[in-house]
Amino acid sequence: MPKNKPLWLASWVEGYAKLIIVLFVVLIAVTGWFAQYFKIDASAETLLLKNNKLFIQTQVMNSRFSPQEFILVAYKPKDGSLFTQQTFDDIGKLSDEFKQIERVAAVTSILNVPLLSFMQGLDTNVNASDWSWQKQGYTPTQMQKVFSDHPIYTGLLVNEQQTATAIQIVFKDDPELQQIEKKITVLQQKQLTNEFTEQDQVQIETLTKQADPLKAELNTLRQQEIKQIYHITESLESHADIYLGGGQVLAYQLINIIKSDLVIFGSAIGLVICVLLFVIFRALRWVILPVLCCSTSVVLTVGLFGFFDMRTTVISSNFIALQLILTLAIVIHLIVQFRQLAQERPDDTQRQLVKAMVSAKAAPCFYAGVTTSVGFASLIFSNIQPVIAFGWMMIVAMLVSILVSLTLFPALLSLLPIQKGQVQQSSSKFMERLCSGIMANKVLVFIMAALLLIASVVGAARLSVENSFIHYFSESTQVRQELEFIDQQFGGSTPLDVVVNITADQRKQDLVLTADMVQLLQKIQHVMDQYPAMGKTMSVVNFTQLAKTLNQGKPLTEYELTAVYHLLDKALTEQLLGAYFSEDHQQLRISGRVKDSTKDFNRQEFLQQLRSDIEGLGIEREGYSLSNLFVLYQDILQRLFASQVNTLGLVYAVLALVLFAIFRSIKVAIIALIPNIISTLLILGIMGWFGIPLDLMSITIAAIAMGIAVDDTIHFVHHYLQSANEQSANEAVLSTYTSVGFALLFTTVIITAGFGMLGFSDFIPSVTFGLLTGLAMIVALVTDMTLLPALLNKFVGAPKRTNT
Amino acid sequence: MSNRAGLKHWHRIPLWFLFLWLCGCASQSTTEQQQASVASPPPTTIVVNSSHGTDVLEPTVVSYQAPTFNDPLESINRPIFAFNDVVYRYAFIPIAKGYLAVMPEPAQQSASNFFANLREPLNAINHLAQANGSNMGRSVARFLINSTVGLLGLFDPADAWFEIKPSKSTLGDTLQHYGVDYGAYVVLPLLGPTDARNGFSSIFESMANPIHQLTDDPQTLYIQTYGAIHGFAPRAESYEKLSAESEDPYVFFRNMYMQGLLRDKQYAEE
Repeated sequence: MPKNKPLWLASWVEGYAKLIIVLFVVLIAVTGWFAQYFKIDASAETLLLKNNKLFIQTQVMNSRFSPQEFILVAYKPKDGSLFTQQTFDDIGKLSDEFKQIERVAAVTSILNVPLLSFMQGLDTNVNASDWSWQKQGYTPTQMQKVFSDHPIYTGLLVNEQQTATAIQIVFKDDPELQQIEKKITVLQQKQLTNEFTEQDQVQIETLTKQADPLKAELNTLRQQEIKQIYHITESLESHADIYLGGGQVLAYQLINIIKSDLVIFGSAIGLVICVLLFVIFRALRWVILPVLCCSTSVVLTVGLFGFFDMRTTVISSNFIALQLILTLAIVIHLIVQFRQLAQERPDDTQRQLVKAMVSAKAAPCFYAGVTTSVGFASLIFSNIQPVIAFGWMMIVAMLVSILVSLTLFPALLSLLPIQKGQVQQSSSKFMERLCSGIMANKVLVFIMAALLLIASVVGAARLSVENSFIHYFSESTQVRQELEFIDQQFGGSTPLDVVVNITADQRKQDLVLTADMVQLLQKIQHVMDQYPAMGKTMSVVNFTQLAKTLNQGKPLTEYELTAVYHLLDKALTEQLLGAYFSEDHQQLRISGRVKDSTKDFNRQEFLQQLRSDIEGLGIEREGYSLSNLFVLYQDILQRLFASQVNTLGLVYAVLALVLFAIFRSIKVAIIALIPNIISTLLILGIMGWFGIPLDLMSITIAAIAMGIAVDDTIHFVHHYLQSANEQSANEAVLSTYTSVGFALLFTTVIITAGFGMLGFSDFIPSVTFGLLTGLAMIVALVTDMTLLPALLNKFVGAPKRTNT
Repeated sequence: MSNRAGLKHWHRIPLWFLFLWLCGCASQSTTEQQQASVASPPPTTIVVNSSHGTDVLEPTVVSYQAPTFNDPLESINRPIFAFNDVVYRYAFIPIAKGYLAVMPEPAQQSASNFFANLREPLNAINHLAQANGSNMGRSVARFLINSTVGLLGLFDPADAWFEIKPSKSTLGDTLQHYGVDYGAYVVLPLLGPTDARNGFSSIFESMANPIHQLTDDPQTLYIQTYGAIHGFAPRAESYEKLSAESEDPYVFFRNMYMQGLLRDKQYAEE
């Protein structure tokens, strides 16, 4: 390992303390200005891979069948009876008010849908809107009857138990944005056929830039609209429960809870950390300085992200928390070192102490930061855009943290007056006992570690991956209950479509659709409906079912179907069937929504089973496609899951190289790697054993655990090797315990306690993140304080001296 | 006098019988030949096998393929169809459109009521022939009520006030009741697609219509012509649109007619 202590840095920091502070003030001002351009993008879209086949396919299908954006408002009367004049009045009032919202294209409710079942027989000259409650004023009893087992509206506008009804608020598309997106889709489609050129890529980028501000505007508008809808529904709270649902509502609630968590838990964590810092170090300066450094790091990082337009997604949303942890860890190491120096050299001036602190700790802190960055850099090779972005963000954040804690912190510290006699070194008896205990039982430690490793690997093999956005909210929350109600009662949340191609031999002259084709579709839809997790499915079949009821229960013939199709008003056909049948492309679409809140739902198995069921009906794999958000989420989850293994392997390899570069010894590198491998695998193992599935938010936990663990390891090994140059192996271990040991212990206690606060959050990913991060810190501490010293003592000893 | 006017048409009947018998024979001989291959109607259930077990569904759209029906008279039917097409296009459809535009909705309804009432005696006779006493009684009651209180059948107080629902029954239904098959597909001049049994029924009933007892020619002819236009008018636009959408309108209308017929046959039996 390099012996040249970074004296130049120490004297530079000590000599130009004021200049450094001024520079940082300027930097904060500049980056603070750029921080306003920092964007948190919680939309589902950011999680999706843009360049893959499934995504493009879904975009193509969406432009072909143009499903509309909508929000569901469920109305559940408190007295239990749904079909009453009161309900009709309320729904009418709500609908009128919703219509006032500017972007609303239509409000569909039980009051204005055409109730063709009231018609005597099939009449193609029908003016559908004539057959609505609004026009005909049906009685509550008639309404109740018509909505019982209605092929189209049951599960869509009225739940099966008839205890609640839903109002569908349909929104207008932004024509300009839609135009741009269509163009992008057309260009992207070329990727599927390998005709994609560099020019196309440039064009896509220009178009995306055009679309960005429009999208941002739309998102703000959506937020306002949802607030407005909540406000409108408030007036009816006395006699009805009102629930909101739909993709946009979910995104709105996600952003809300993330924001409120940031405020509530951000301050709670900050407070706990401050209190603990004060309890441990018993001086105000050891509270204020770390807090100053942490906040400076965060402001600089956020400003840089704003400058480079790096956007935070759900996956990278905890970068602030991580940066706090990593900055704090470095600063605590410095504090512990400083206090130790102050005790050992009572006659030194403050500036001399600072200089000594920097020269002793700059190298390990720098190495620790670099290795952590390398750990996160491995994420760049995951091939998954949001994870790659997270990797880059963490590298930037880490570099900022190193810079701040190694320059600003000592600079500030050097200007403070010396605190004589205040330093009370914590009792080292505990450390001494721990040290001798470990040294005496090395074999036991190795055996335990080996067992733990095996258990972890077995547990990690049991890991599953599952993502339910509704389950992100704690069961006790209002939001969860609302979303779950809509999800369970009104046909599910996450869109899943089956698009069936009509082959040439399935067509017949002059027929729009053959009976065989409709029957095949009916079979597929029936198979889909058999899954308990499947919500409402809609296709052409629902309409033929309605037609059958209108035809006195007799099925239509394929010619009658064709006649009805041609004879109905073109606009009406488009409105009813446009989303389910494309005559030009000869495709039929079954649109479904999966119930996101289904308990113990294995999504991957469901998709596989569904595919095999569909293929079991005699459809070739090329003859149909599954598309839409459900498939895309599942795809990215599976990729993330698969990439865990690859990324972890890569991280271990790269880390081994970096450790070798730092310590210049294969033996030391391998020994330093072992506790890190155990820490990361143990976290995954624990998740596996406890059945906590990885989701979009916890998928990076392994990388995080690694980032934390490697810090501890480097500080420990670095100190040990330095001590071993002058002392015996046993003395070196003891000296490391009593200096670095404390720093590790303090860091772990402070951060674990602080992030443990997240356990009280209503946002489950925060809970998981808080607890797992705490766990990762404890595991890292334990392995670095037991296994690592045992390994170092046993296999490295004192390289420059003969082992005693 | 009116009796004689009615009788004037009866002498034509044997000729029609002969014609239809021929059609029937022609169709029968061919169906019998084909019965050996596949003539049975398609199953009325769909069986689905999946990982959730086997389920049985009811189809919402059905199809009847050749050889469940055939068209032995195609060579005669096609020219008649072409002739009809010209007549429809240049006479019936413009007339029908004008008629619908001029006639207010209540008047149209009354006209429908009038013609429906006029054939109530025929309904009664057919119900009787099918030994359906209660339906016969209803038809008789409807005729009596609607002809008097309903102002010559222009209104339907039997349904509106006494809740006696209409129940149409034709000679075709009676023939079917006694096991007479529908025979071949026939395109009648002016009247359009039908089958041998129903074609015979329509012609026979138009001659046996009680109107002959009430009026003389040419009034009878005027009234019947008006009835025909009234009946055709709502379908005029459909005919125009559908024939525009199909490549071979003859086949389209034939298949639509025959599939509907076979569907009714299959689903009435259940």
